[in-house]
Amino acid sequence: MYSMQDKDEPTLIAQTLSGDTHAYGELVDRYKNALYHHCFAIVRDEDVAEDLAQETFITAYYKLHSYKSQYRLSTWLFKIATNKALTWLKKAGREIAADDELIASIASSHPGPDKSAEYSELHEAVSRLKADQRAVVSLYYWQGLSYQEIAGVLSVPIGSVRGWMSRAKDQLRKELL
Amino acid sequence: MKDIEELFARSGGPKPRRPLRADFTHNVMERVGERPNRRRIARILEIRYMKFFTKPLIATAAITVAVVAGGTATFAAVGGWPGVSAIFGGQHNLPNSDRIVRVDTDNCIDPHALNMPDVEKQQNKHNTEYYKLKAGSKLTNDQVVRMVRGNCFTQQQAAYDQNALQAALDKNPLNKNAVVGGYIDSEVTAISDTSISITSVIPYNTELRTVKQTFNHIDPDVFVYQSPNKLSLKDIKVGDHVSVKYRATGDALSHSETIKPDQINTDEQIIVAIFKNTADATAAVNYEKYNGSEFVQVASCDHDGGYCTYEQLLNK
Repeated sequence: MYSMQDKDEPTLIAQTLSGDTHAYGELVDRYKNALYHHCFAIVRDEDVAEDLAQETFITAYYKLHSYKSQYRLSTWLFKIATNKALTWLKKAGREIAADDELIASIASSHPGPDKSAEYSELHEAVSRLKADQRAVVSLYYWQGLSYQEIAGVLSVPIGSVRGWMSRAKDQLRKELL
Repeated sequence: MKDIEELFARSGGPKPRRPLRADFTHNVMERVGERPNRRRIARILEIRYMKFFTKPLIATAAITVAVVAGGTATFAAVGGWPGVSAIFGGQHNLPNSDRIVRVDTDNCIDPHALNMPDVEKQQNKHNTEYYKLKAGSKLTNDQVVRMVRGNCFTQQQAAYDQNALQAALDKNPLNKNAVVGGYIDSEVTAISDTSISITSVIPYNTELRTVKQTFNHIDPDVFVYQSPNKLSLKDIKVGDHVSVKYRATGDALSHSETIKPDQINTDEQIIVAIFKNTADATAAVNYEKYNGSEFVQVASCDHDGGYCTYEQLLNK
Protein backbone atom coordinates (compact mmCIF):
# COMPACT_ATOMS: atom_id res chain seq x y z
CA MET A 1 0.00 0.00 0.00
CA TYR A 2 1.19 3.45 -0.77
CA SER A 3 0.51 6.36 1.45
CA MET A 4 -1.97 9.06 0.69
CA GLN A 5 0.94 11.34 -0.01
CA ASP A 6 1.84 9.24 -3.01
CA LYS A 7 -1.55 9.44 -4.58
CA ASP A 8 -2.14 11.81 -7.41
CA GLU A 9 -4.84 14.38 -7.24
CA PRO A 10 -7.30 12.79 -9.67
CA THR A 11 -7.14 9.56 -7.70
CA LEU A 12 -7.83 11.38 -4.46
CA ILE A 13 -10.76 13.17 -6.08
CA ALA A 14 -12.18 9.93 -7.39
CA GLN A 15 -11.81 8.27 -4.02
CA THR A 16 -13.46 11.22 -2.34
CA LEU A 17 -16.37 11.01 -4.74
CA SER A 18 -16.82 7.42 -3.78
CA GLY A 19 -17.07 8.34 -0.14
CA ASP A 20 -13.49 8.01 1.06
CA THR A 21 -13.20 10.91 3.44
CA HIS A 22 -9.57 10.10 4.19
CA ALA A 23 -8.76 10.93 0.60
CA TYR A 24 -10.51 14.22 0.97
CA GLY A 25 -8.54 14.88 4.13
CA GLU A 26 -5.40 14.59 2.06
CA LEU A 27 -6.72 17.14 -0.41
CA VAL A 28 -7.57 19.45 2.47
CA ASP A 29 -4.05 19.14 3.82
CA ARG A 30 -2.60 19.96 0.43
CA TYR A 31 -4.51 23.18 -0.08
CA LYS A 32 -5.50 24.43 3.33
CA ASN A 33 -2.61 26.81 3.79
CA ALA A 34 -2.90 28.28 0.31
CA LEU A 35 -6.61 28.91 0.81
CA TYR A 36 -6.06 30.31 4.27
CA HIS A 37 -3.45 32.75 2.99
CA HIS A 38 -5.57 33.70 0.01
CA CYS A 39 -8.63 34.35 2.16
CA PHE A 40 -6.48 36.31 4.54
CA ALA A 41 -5.17 38.43 1.69
CA ILE A 42 -8.75 39.44 0.97
CA VAL A 43 -10.40 39.70 4.39
CA ARG A 44 -7.30 40.45 6.50
CA ASP A 45 -8.62 38.67 9.55
CA GLU A 46 -7.13 35.38 10.64
CA ASP A 47 -10.22 33.93 12.28
CA VAL A 48 -12.47 34.87 9.40
CA ALA A 49 -9.93 33.60 6.88
CA GLU A 50 -9.75 30.26 8.66
CA ASP A 51 -13.54 29.98 8.79
CA LEU A 52 -13.79 30.83 5.10
CA ALA A 53 -11.13 28.26 4.22
CA GLN A 54 -13.03 25.67 6.20
CA GLU A 55 -16.33 26.57 4.56
CA THR A 56 -14.61 26.38 1.20
CA PHE A 57 -13.56 22.80 1.79
CA ILE A 58 -17.00 21.83 3.02
CA THR A 59 -18.68 23.39 0.01
CA ALA A 60 -16.13 21.81 -2.30
CA TYR A 61 -16.78 18.40 -0.79
CA TYR A 62 -20.47 18.53 -1.55
CA LYS A 63 -19.96 20.01 -4.99
CA LEU A 64 -17.06 17.83 -5.98
CA HIS A 65 -19.23 15.86 -8.38
CA SER A 66 -19.63 19.06 -10.41
CA TYR A 67 -15.91 19.75 -10.53
CA LYS A 68 -14.64 19.63 -14.08
CA SER A 69 -11.28 17.96 -14.33
CA GLN A 70 -10.07 20.14 -17.17
CA TYR A 71 -9.48 22.83 -14.57
CA ARG A 72 -6.93 22.59 -11.84
CA LEU A 73 -8.50 21.64 -8.53
CA SER A 74 -6.68 24.53 -6.90
CA THR A 75 -8.29 26.96 -9.34
CA TRP A 76 -11.70 25.60 -8.50
CA LEU A 77 -11.01 25.83 -4.77
CA PHE A 78 -9.79 29.40 -5.16
CA LYS A 79 -12.99 30.19 -7.00
CA ILE A 80 -15.10 28.99 -4.11
CA ALA A 81 -12.87 30.66 -1.55
CA THR A 82 -12.80 33.97 -3.39
CA ASN A 83 -16.57 34.01 -3.72
CA LYS A 84 -16.95 33.32 -0.05
CA ALA A 85 -14.42 35.96 0.92
CA LEU A 86 -15.95 38.63 -1.28
CA THR A 87 -19.45 37.68 -0.10
CA TRP A 88 -18.30 37.91 3.49
CA LEU A 89 -16.93 41.39 2.89
CA LYS A 90 -20.17 42.47 1.28
CA LYS A 91 -22.27 41.04 4.07
CA ALA A 92 -20.05 42.53 6.70
CA GLY A 93 -20.34 45.81 4.86
CA ARG A 94 -16.73 46.51 5.31
CA GLU A 95 -13.61 47.31 3.49
CA ILE A 96 -10.38 46.51 5.17
CA ALA A 97 -8.56 49.31 6.81
CA ALA A 98 -4.92 48.61 7.39
CA ASP A 99 -4.50 49.25 11.07
CA ASP A 100 -1.25 49.55 12.94
CA GLU A 101 -1.44 46.02 14.26
CA LEU A 102 -1.96 44.63 10.82
CA ILE A 103 0.91 46.60 9.39
CA ALA A 104 3.14 45.45 12.21
CA SER A 105 2.18 41.87 11.52
CA ILE A 106 2.94 42.25 7.86
CA ALA A 107 6.34 43.70 8.62
CA SER A 108 7.18 41.01 11.12
CA SER A 109 6.18 38.20 8.82
CA HIS A 110 9.18 38.57 6.55
CA PRO A 111 12.62 37.39 7.49
CA GLY A 112 14.76 39.99 5.76
CA PRO A 113 14.75 43.11 7.91
CA ASP A 114 16.12 45.25 5.11
CA LYS A 115 13.24 44.26 2.87
CA SER A 116 10.46 43.96 5.38
CA ALA A 117 9.65 47.65 5.33
CA GLU A 118 9.40 47.56 1.58
CA TYR A 119 7.19 44.47 1.63
CA SER A 120 4.98 45.82 4.37
CA GLU A 121 4.57 48.99 2.39
CA LEU A 122 3.39 46.91 -0.55
CA HIS A 123 1.03 44.79 1.53
CA GLU A 124 -0.33 47.84 3.24
CA ALA A 125 -1.02 49.40 -0.13
CA VAL A 126 -2.65 46.19 -1.37
CA SER A 127 -4.87 46.12 1.69
CA ARG A 128 -6.26 49.48 0.62
CA LEU A 129 -7.28 48.19 -2.79
CA LYS A 130 -10.89 47.32 -3.48
CA ALA A 131 -11.80 43.77 -2.56
CA ASP A 132 -12.04 42.50 -6.12
CA GLN A 133 -8.71 44.06 -6.99
CA ARG A 134 -7.20 42.51 -3.89
CA ALA A 135 -8.52 39.15 -4.96
CA VAL A 136 -7.02 39.53 -8.41
CA VAL A 137 -3.65 40.56 -6.98
CA SER A 138 -3.60 37.65 -4.56
CA LEU A 139 -4.57 35.11 -7.17
CA TYR A 140 -2.14 36.38 -9.76
CA TYR A 141 0.95 37.25 -7.77
CA TRP A 142 0.70 35.05 -4.72
CA GLN A 143 -1.23 32.03 -5.89
CA GLY A 144 0.20 31.86 -9.39
CA LEU A 145 -3.02 31.81 -11.39
CA SER A 146 -3.14 33.10 -14.94
CA TYR A 147 -5.45 35.89 -16.04
CA GLN A 148 -7.54 33.28 -17.81
CA GLU A 149 -7.83 31.21 -14.67
CA ILE A 150 -8.68 34.24 -12.59
CA ALA A 151 -11.42 35.12 -15.04
CA GLY A 152 -12.80 31.66 -14.42
CA VAL A 153 -12.44 32.00 -10.68
CA LEU A 154 -14.31 35.29 -10.59
CA SER A 155 -16.72 34.39 -13.40
CA VAL A 156 -15.89 37.57 -15.28
CA PRO A 157 -14.44 38.23 -18.74
CA ILE A 158 -10.68 38.25 -18.93
CA GLY A 159 -10.89 41.93 -19.88
CA SER A 160 -12.34 42.68 -16.46
CA VAL A 161 -9.44 40.92 -14.80
CA ARG A 162 -6.97 42.94 -16.85
CA GLY A 163 -8.87 46.11 -16.02
CA TRP A 164 -8.89 45.43 -12.29
CA MET A 165 -5.25 44.51 -12.32
CA SER A 166 -4.35 47.59 -14.32
CA ARG A 167 -6.21 49.87 -11.95
CA ALA A 168 -4.75 48.06 -8.96
CA LYS A 169 -1.22 48.53 -10.23
CA ASP A 170 -1.88 52.17 -11.08
CA GLN A 171 -3.00 52.77 -7.52
CA LEU A 172 -0.11 50.82 -6.07
CA ARG A 173 2.40 52.73 -8.15
CA LYS A 174 0.96 56.00 -6.92
CA GLU A 175 1.11 54.90 -3.33
CA LEU A 176 4.57 53.43 -3.58
CA LEU A 177 6.16 56.40 -5.27
CA MET B 1 9.12 54.59 -8.74
CA LYS B 2 9.36 51.06 -7.46
CA ASP B 3 9.04 48.14 -9.84
CA ILE B 4 5.70 46.64 -8.80
CA GLU B 5 6.21 43.38 -10.62
CA GLU B 6 9.58 42.77 -9.07
CA LEU B 7 8.32 43.74 -5.65
CA PHE B 8 5.41 41.35 -5.88
CA ALA B 9 7.68 38.58 -7.05
CA ARG B 10 9.95 39.00 -4.03
CA SER B 11 7.44 39.75 -1.35
CA GLY B 12 5.05 36.83 -1.28
CA GLY B 13 1.60 37.46 0.12
CA PRO B 14 0.68 38.97 3.44
CA LYS B 15 1.19 36.47 6.21
CA PRO B 16 -1.46 35.84 8.84
CA ARG B 17 -0.30 36.40 12.39
CA ARG B 18 -0.94 32.81 13.26
CA PRO B 19 -0.93 29.50 11.40
CA LEU B 20 -4.06 27.49 10.88
CA ARG B 21 -5.26 25.69 13.96
CA ALA B 22 -3.86 22.21 14.28
CA ASP B 23 -7.30 20.66 14.14
CA PHE B 24 -8.30 22.42 10.92
CA THR B 25 -8.44 19.30 8.77
CA HIS B 26 -10.06 17.32 11.53
CA ASN B 27 -12.80 19.93 11.86
CA VAL B 28 -13.44 19.93 8.13
CA MET B 29 -13.70 16.16 8.06
CA GLU B 30 -16.02 16.13 11.04
CA ARG B 31 -18.32 18.56 9.32
CA VAL B 32 -18.40 16.79 6.00
CA GLY B 33 -19.13 13.59 7.86
CA GLU B 34 -22.27 15.14 9.30
CA ARG B 35 -24.03 15.44 6.00
CA PRO B 36 -25.79 12.68 4.15
CA ASN B 37 -24.67 13.19 0.61
CA ARG B 38 -22.20 10.42 0.12
CA ARG B 39 -24.50 7.87 -1.36
CA ARG B 40 -25.74 10.39 -3.88
CA ILE B 41 -22.19 11.18 -4.87
CA ALA B 42 -21.31 7.53 -5.15
CA ARG B 43 -24.29 6.82 -7.30
CA ILE B 44 -23.59 9.72 -9.61
CA LEU B 45 -20.08 8.44 -9.88
CA GLU B 46 -21.32 5.15 -11.16
CA ILE B 47 -22.90 6.97 -14.04
CA ARG B 48 -20.01 9.32 -14.47
CA TYR B 49 -17.83 6.30 -14.71
CA MET B 50 -18.87 6.26 -18.31
CA LYS B 51 -18.26 9.92 -18.78
CA PHE B 52 -14.75 9.72 -17.49
CA PHE B 53 -13.42 6.90 -19.51
CA THR B 54 -10.77 9.20 -20.85
CA LYS B 55 -9.15 8.62 -17.47
CA PRO B 56 -9.84 4.96 -16.94
CA LEU B 57 -7.59 4.33 -14.00
CA ILE B 58 -9.26 7.01 -12.00
CA ALA B 59 -12.63 5.69 -12.90
CA THR B 60 -11.82 2.15 -11.93
CA ALA B 61 -10.35 3.20 -8.65
CA ALA B 62 -13.45 5.17 -7.94
CA ILE B 63 -15.79 2.36 -8.76
CA THR B 64 -13.80 0.01 -6.61
CA VAL B 65 -14.64 2.04 -3.61
CA ALA B 66 -18.10 2.98 -4.72
CA VAL B 67 -19.26 -0.55 -5.12
CA VAL B 68 -16.98 -2.78 -3.12
CA ALA B 69 -16.28 -0.59 -0.16
CA GLY B 70 -19.26 1.66 -0.44
CA GLY B 71 -21.82 -0.79 0.73
CA THR B 72 -21.38 -0.30 4.39
CA ALA B 73 -24.33 -0.15 6.67
CA THR B 74 -24.78 3.59 6.42
CA PHE B 75 -27.87 3.17 4.33
CA ALA B 76 -29.20 0.02 5.85
CA ALA B 77 -32.44 -1.22 4.49
CA VAL B 78 -35.35 -0.98 6.85
CA GLY B 79 -38.37 -3.15 6.36
CA GLY B 80 -39.61 -3.98 2.89
CA TRP B 81 -39.10 -2.38 -0.43
CA PRO B 82 -40.45 1.16 -0.26
CA GLY B 83 -42.81 2.37 -2.92
CA VAL B 84 -41.68 5.64 -4.35
CA SER B 85 -43.91 8.13 -6.07
CA ALA B 86 -43.47 11.37 -7.91
CA ILE B 87 -46.42 13.23 -9.30
CA PHE B 88 -46.85 16.50 -11.16
CA GLY B 89 -47.71 19.29 -8.74
CA GLY B 90 -48.00 22.29 -11.01
CA GLN B 91 -46.15 24.63 -13.29
CA HIS B 92 -45.57 28.32 -13.67
CA ASN B 93 -43.36 30.42 -15.86
CA LEU B 94 -40.84 32.95 -14.67
CA PRO B 95 -40.56 36.41 -16.26
CA ASN B 96 -37.52 35.27 -18.21
CA SER B 97 -39.56 32.37 -19.65
CA ASP B 98 -37.84 29.73 -17.57
CA ARG B 99 -40.36 27.17 -16.39
CA ILE B 100 -40.79 25.92 -12.85
CA VAL B 101 -42.18 22.43 -12.48
CA ARG B 102 -43.31 21.24 -9.10
CA VAL B 103 -43.01 17.55 -8.33
CA ASP B 104 -44.54 16.03 -5.20
CA THR B 105 -42.61 13.01 -4.06
CA ASP B 106 -42.96 10.28 -1.49
CA ASN B 107 -40.18 8.12 -0.13
CA CYS B 108 -37.54 9.96 -2.11
CA ILE B 109 -34.33 11.30 -0.76
CA ASP B 110 -33.73 14.92 -1.53
CA PRO B 111 -30.06 14.91 -2.47
CA HIS B 112 -29.79 18.56 -1.63
CA ALA B 113 -31.11 18.29 1.89
CA LEU B 114 -27.69 18.98 3.28
CA ASN B 115 -28.86 20.00 6.67
CA MET B 116 -30.63 16.82 7.53
CA PRO B 117 -28.75 14.93 10.22
CA ASP B 118 -29.01 11.59 8.53
CA VAL B 119 -30.38 10.03 5.40
CA GLU B 120 -32.80 7.72 7.12
CA LYS B 121 -34.85 10.67 8.24
CA GLN B 122 -35.08 11.81 4.66
CA GLN B 123 -36.69 8.59 3.57
CA ASN B 124 -40.35 7.73 3.75
CA LYS B 125 -41.48 11.31 3.77
CA HIS B 126 -43.45 13.54 1.54
CA ASN B 127 -41.50 16.21 -0.19
CA THR B 128 -42.07 18.95 -2.72
CA GLU B 129 -39.32 19.45 -5.22
CA TYR B 130 -39.02 22.25 -7.76
CA TYR B 131 -37.21 22.03 -11.06
CA LYS B 132 -36.35 24.98 -13.24
CA LEU B 133 -36.31 24.29 -16.96
CA LYS B 134 -34.57 26.73 -19.19
CA ALA B 135 -36.70 28.74 -21.58
CA GLY B 136 -37.47 26.81 -24.73
CA SER B 137 -36.72 23.42 -23.23
CA LYS B 138 -38.55 20.70 -25.10
CA LEU B 139 -38.81 18.51 -22.03
CA THR B 140 -42.43 18.03 -21.06
CA ASN B 141 -43.66 18.18 -17.51
CA ASP B 142 -44.43 14.49 -17.70
CA GLN B 143 -40.88 13.73 -18.75
CA VAL B 144 -39.56 15.75 -15.84
CA VAL B 145 -41.77 13.88 -13.42
CA ARG B 146 -40.70 10.53 -14.83
CA MET B 147 -37.05 11.46 -14.56
CA VAL B 148 -37.49 12.61 -10.99
CA ARG B 149 -39.29 9.40 -10.17
CA GLY B 150 -36.59 7.37 -11.87
CA ASN B 151 -33.90 9.21 -9.99
CA CYS B 152 -35.77 8.68 -6.76
CA PHE B 153 -36.27 5.01 -7.52
CA THR B 154 -32.67 4.31 -8.32
CA GLN B 155 -31.50 6.10 -5.21
CA GLN B 156 -33.75 3.97 -3.10
CA GLN B 157 -32.77 0.91 -5.05
CA ALA B 158 -29.12 1.71 -4.60
CA ALA B 159 -29.63 2.05 -0.87
CA TYR B 160 -31.26 -1.32 -0.62
CA ASP B 161 -29.15 -3.12 -3.16
CA GLN B 162 -25.85 -1.83 -1.92
CA ASN B 163 -26.04 -3.93 1.19
CA ALA B 164 -27.15 -7.00 -0.68
CA LEU B 165 -24.40 -6.60 -3.23
CA GLN B 166 -21.80 -5.99 -0.59
CA ALA B 167 -22.75 -9.12 1.28
CA ALA B 168 -22.62 -11.17 -1.90
CA LEU B 169 -19.29 -9.78 -3.00
CA ASP B 170 -17.73 -10.31 0.38
CA LYS B 171 -18.22 -14.05 0.03
CA ASN B 172 -15.67 -14.22 -2.76
CA PRO B 173 -12.08 -13.36 -1.77
CA LEU B 174 -11.37 -12.45 -5.39
CA ASN B 175 -13.62 -9.48 -5.00
CA LYS B 176 -11.64 -8.10 -2.15
CA ASN B 177 -9.92 -4.96 -3.36
CA ALA B 178 -11.06 -5.80 -6.86
CA VAL B 179 -12.08 -3.32 -9.44
CA VAL B 180 -15.83 -3.54 -9.73
CA GLY B 181 -17.75 -1.42 -12.15
CA GLY B 182 -21.11 -1.45 -13.72
CA TYR B 183 -23.85 0.22 -15.65
CA ILE B 184 -27.01 1.78 -14.36
CA ASP B 185 -29.29 0.28 -16.95
CA SER B 186 -28.89 -2.16 -19.82
CA GLU B 187 -31.23 -4.25 -21.93
CA VAL B 188 -30.45 -7.94 -22.20
CA THR B 189 -30.14 -9.02 -25.85
CA ALA B 190 -28.84 -12.55 -25.27
CA ILE B 191 -28.09 -14.65 -22.25
CA SER B 192 -26.79 -18.13 -21.43
CA ASP B 193 -25.20 -19.78 -18.42
CA THR B 194 -21.84 -18.44 -19.42
CA SER B 195 -22.41 -15.20 -21.25
CA ILE B 196 -24.64 -12.18 -21.42
CA SER B 197 -25.06 -9.59 -24.14
CA ILE B 198 -26.42 -6.20 -23.25
CA THR B 199 -27.24 -2.91 -24.85
CA SER B 200 -26.67 0.04 -22.59
CA VAL B 201 -27.65 3.63 -22.95
CA ILE B 202 -24.87 5.45 -21.24
CA PRO B 203 -24.34 9.13 -20.54
CA TYR B 204 -21.01 9.83 -22.12
CA ASN B 205 -19.78 13.39 -21.93
CA THR B 206 -22.86 15.38 -22.86
CA GLU B 207 -24.67 12.79 -24.90
CA LEU B 208 -26.33 9.46 -24.47
CA ARG B 209 -24.49 6.70 -26.23
CA THR B 210 -25.76 3.25 -27.05
CA VAL B 211 -23.18 0.59 -26.35
CA LYS B 212 -23.52 -3.10 -27.21
CA GLN B 213 -21.36 -5.56 -25.31
CA THR B 214 -21.03 -9.26 -24.75
CA PHE B 215 -19.50 -10.59 -21.55
CA ASN B 216 -18.23 -14.14 -21.90
CA HIS B 217 -17.30 -14.59 -18.28
CA ILE B 218 -19.93 -14.89 -15.61
CA ASP B 219 -18.81 -15.70 -12.10
CA PRO B 220 -20.22 -19.10 -11.04
CA ASP B 221 -21.49 -17.39 -7.90
CA VAL B 222 -22.99 -14.47 -9.77
CA PHE B 223 -25.42 -12.62 -7.56
CA VAL B 224 -28.75 -12.14 -9.32
CA TYR B 225 -31.23 -9.94 -7.59
CA GLN B 226 -34.40 -7.99 -7.95
CA SER B 227 -35.04 -5.96 -4.87
CA PRO B 228 -35.75 -7.31 -2.41
CA ASN B 229 -35.53 -10.89 -3.71
CA LYS B 230 -32.62 -13.02 -4.75
CA LEU B 231 -33.07 -14.54 -8.19
CA SER B 232 -31.10 -16.97 -10.30
CA LEU B 233 -29.48 -16.42 -13.65
CA LYS B 234 -32.33 -18.31 -15.29
CA ASP B 235 -34.71 -15.59 -14.17
CA ILE B 236 -33.04 -13.10 -16.47
CA LYS B 237 -34.55 -13.07 -19.94
CA VAL B 238 -33.89 -11.35 -23.22
CA GLY B 239 -35.57 -7.95 -23.09
CA ASP B 240 -35.13 -7.51 -19.35
CA HIS B 241 -33.57 -4.32 -18.10
CA VAL B 242 -30.69 -5.00 -15.79
CA SER B 243 -27.80 -3.36 -14.05
CA VAL B 244 -24.68 -5.46 -14.35
CA LYS B 245 -21.67 -5.31 -12.09
CA TYR B 246 -18.41 -6.75 -13.20
CA ARG B 247 -15.01 -7.45 -11.76
CA ALA B 248 -12.20 -6.36 -14.00
CA THR B 249 -9.07 -8.41 -14.23
CA GLY B 250 -5.61 -7.03 -14.77
CA ASP B 251 -5.40 -3.49 -16.00
CA ALA B 252 -8.25 -3.88 -18.40
CA LEU B 253 -9.07 -0.23 -18.32
CA SER B 254 -5.60 1.17 -18.44
CA HIS B 255 -4.55 0.32 -21.97
CA SER B 256 -5.50 3.60 -23.47
CA GLU B 257 -5.99 7.08 -22.24
CA THR B 258 -8.75 7.54 -24.77
CA ILE B 259 -10.66 4.34 -24.21
CA LYS B 260 -14.39 4.66 -24.78
CA PRO B 261 -17.17 2.58 -23.26
CA ASP B 262 -17.68 0.65 -26.47
CA GLN B 263 -14.00 -0.19 -26.70
CA ILE B 264 -13.65 -1.91 -23.36
CA ASN B 265 -12.34 -5.40 -23.63
CA THR B 266 -15.09 -7.39 -21.98
CA ASP B 267 -12.94 -10.51 -22.06
CA GLU B 268 -11.14 -9.01 -19.11
CA GLN B 269 -14.31 -8.53 -17.13
CA ILE B 270 -16.26 -11.04 -15.10
CA ILE B 271 -19.89 -10.47 -14.33
CA VAL B 272 -20.34 -10.73 -10.56
CA ALA B 273 -23.85 -9.36 -10.12
CA ILE B 274 -26.95 -8.70 -12.16
CA PHE B 275 -29.75 -6.56 -10.82
CA LYS B 276 -33.06 -6.69 -12.58
CA ASN B 277 -34.35 -3.17 -13.14
CA THR B 278 -37.59 -1.47 -13.93
CA ALA B 279 -38.11 1.24 -16.53
CA ASP B 280 -37.39 3.77 -13.83
CA ALA B 281 -33.71 3.12 -14.16
CA THR B 282 -33.79 4.32 -17.75
CA ALA B 283 -35.54 7.48 -16.67
CA ALA B 284 -32.81 7.99 -14.11
CA VAL B 285 -30.20 7.91 -16.85
CA ASN B 286 -32.06 10.74 -18.54
CA TYR B 287 -32.15 12.62 -15.26
CA GLU B 288 -28.38 12.52 -15.21
CA LYS B 289 -28.21 13.54 -18.85
CA TYR B 290 -30.41 16.60 -18.57
CA ASN B 291 -29.65 17.65 -15.01
CA GLY B 292 -27.60 20.82 -15.23
CA SER B 293 -28.21 21.39 -18.90
CA GLU B 294 -31.97 21.33 -19.47
CA PHE B 295 -33.12 21.57 -15.88
CA VAL B 296 -31.85 22.14 -12.42
CA GLN B 297 -33.41 21.52 -9.05
CA VAL B 298 -34.18 24.75 -7.24
CA ALA B 299 -35.52 25.88 -3.90
CA SER B 300 -37.46 28.84 -2.73
CA CYS B 301 -35.43 31.94 -1.99
CA ASP B 302 -35.88 35.69 -1.93
CA HIS B 303 -34.07 36.51 -5.15
CA ASP B 304 -33.54 35.18 -8.69
CA GLY B 305 -37.26 35.15 -9.30
CA GLY B 306 -37.93 33.34 -6.07
CA TYR B 307 -36.08 30.15 -7.03
CA CYS B 308 -32.41 29.58 -6.41
CA THR B 309 -30.25 26.67 -7.34
CA TYR B 310 -28.73 24.77 -4.47
CA GLU B 311 -25.36 25.98 -5.63
CA GLN B 312 -26.55 29.53 -5.14
CA LEU B 313 -27.93 28.71 -1.72
CA LEU B 314 -24.77 26.92 -0.75
CA ASN B 315 -22.62 29.87 -1.73
CA LYS B 316 -24.86 32.41 -0.13
